[in-house]
Amino acid sequence: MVNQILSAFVSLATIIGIGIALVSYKAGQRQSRVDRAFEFYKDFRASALDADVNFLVDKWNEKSEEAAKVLKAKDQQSLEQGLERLQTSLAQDAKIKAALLRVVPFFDGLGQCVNTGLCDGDTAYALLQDRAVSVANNYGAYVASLQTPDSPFAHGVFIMKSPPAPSRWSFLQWLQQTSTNTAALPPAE
Amino acid sequence: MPCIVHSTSQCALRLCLGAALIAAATTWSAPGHAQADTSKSNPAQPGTGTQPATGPSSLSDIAPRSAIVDPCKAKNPPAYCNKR
Repeated sequence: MVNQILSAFVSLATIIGIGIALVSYKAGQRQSRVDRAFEFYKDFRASALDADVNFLVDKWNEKSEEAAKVLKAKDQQSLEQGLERLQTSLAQDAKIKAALLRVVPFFDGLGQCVNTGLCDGDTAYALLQDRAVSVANNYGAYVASLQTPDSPFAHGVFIMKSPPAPSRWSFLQWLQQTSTNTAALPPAE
Repeated sequence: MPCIVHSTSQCALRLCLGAALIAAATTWSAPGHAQADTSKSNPAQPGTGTQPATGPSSLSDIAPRSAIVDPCKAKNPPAYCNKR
């Protein structure tokens, strides 16, 4: 009788233990992806890439009148061509060229890291999406003109500017948020 | 799965073994373990010590700029705005 109870207990403990181990393993994997994404953010801050992005936006703003004129083009083709011409002429400036040379490869690395699942997308987007949007929106035509189909080069800013795909962890996150929100609610009267 | 043991002590031993295995697996896969594996190539905290001496002098220097004319917010945005 005791043996049977112990046996059942062993089986139950094994089943629960495997479940716990799997969930912990997944959580560990996700944590390492978050850490990797955060390493990119630390590099971004340490390398003063935010100053580069600000510089690029400032330079774009200097051409805002020209950009506004281009955007008034009646047909889409001349708008596209006009923007590419404007952005390419901006990129001929040595300082802009140097800033793009630092920023674009950085986002290529991060974009690839997110795309392959090595970095956590939610973390990367939360920390750096707005910076990628600044580059992609204002220099996108020029950057896109450098892309080649069989290389990830110059794709990173576009990967990072797009909204993140629904996380595989969304259900667990939802559970976590629900429990957190419930705990934060004032006690019912 | 029947417990094919003949004494309580043997069954308890199995229980301890199983529990030890599970504990080992859980500990190994815990977040702390994964963190230990992460390379610490840049141990410096953001903005502490790694900034060049000629860094930003005020907060406004590092405040994110916004474009006056954003092509992707125009009425007819260029195709690259929808690129992924």
